[in-house]
Amino acid sequence: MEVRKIFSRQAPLLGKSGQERLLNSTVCVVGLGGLGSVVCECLVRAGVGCLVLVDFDYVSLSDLNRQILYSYRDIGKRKVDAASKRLRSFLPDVKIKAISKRLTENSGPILQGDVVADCLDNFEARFCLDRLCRDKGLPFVHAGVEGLFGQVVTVLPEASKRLSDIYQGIDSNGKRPVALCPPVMVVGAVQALEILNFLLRGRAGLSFNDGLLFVDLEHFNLDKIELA
Amino acid sequence: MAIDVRIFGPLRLDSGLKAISIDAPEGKRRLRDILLELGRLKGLETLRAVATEGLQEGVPFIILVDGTNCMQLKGLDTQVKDGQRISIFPPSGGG
Repeated sequence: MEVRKIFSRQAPLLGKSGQERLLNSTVCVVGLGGLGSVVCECLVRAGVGCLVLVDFDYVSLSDLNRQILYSYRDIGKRKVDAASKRLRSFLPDVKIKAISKRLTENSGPILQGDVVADCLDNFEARFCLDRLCRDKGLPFVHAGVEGLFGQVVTVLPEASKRLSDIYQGIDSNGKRPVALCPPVMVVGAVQALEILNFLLRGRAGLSFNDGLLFVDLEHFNLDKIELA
Repeated sequence: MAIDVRIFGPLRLDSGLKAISIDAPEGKRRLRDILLELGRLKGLETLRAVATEGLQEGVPFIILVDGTNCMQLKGLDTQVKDGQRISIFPPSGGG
């Protein structure tokens, strides 16, 4: 009964069936940095019942300016463990499968759920995730952020244009991007909302499977760039 | 009718331009020539360099022609037709 109260303020928006649908959903979040932190927190607070968390990294001091799942006490801990603890602290019933592994071409079996969140931090790994999701028939919601700019796009398993087609030619092993908390939170929140809409309404709920949302917080613009 | 060019990210910041209309008197223009013309504008000089030096792996921005990466078309030799849209944006890599 107490747990239901957590979601009382969103009930008019989701309805009982929507809330149950989220409870019975699983989202695989790959990458537990800035975007992954925001996505996980938004999904669990919305009532998504199960998360599969994938990250090989450990919490370091330079993460704390934007990776909202972690605190000073988590320095040196595995991100999947620190994230699980934090997420369970505000929703003890959430089911979490923590996988502390680097994503590789052989990572197919660890990708489970209704949808995958690409919260990785380089294009090489993202293109790998794209191939794995296509092979496993999983939709994935990609996001990236750098400085005051970012983007969100959803790639369905049967899509002919993959992430590597959209971004062909980009430096896939680029330098470490500039990262500030507010843009990370905005882009991560949009990514989480796209995922929630998919879980609630299926493909009809998607906004960015036919176009890429470009987030410009220098000018406070959100533009959808059409994709063929 | 003309070719509609949309600019995003740092290029918009540097040039102060959001959208530019490029004339195509013969109904189409080569992408390379469009970039050369845009590259004359303050803040868009990088586009001139791309047009001159070519699109190589590791470019800082993506050029879409009607939603398709120009590298999946004919690169800088892509003929852009009157009424088509070019979008130039920098994908962000961070997570």
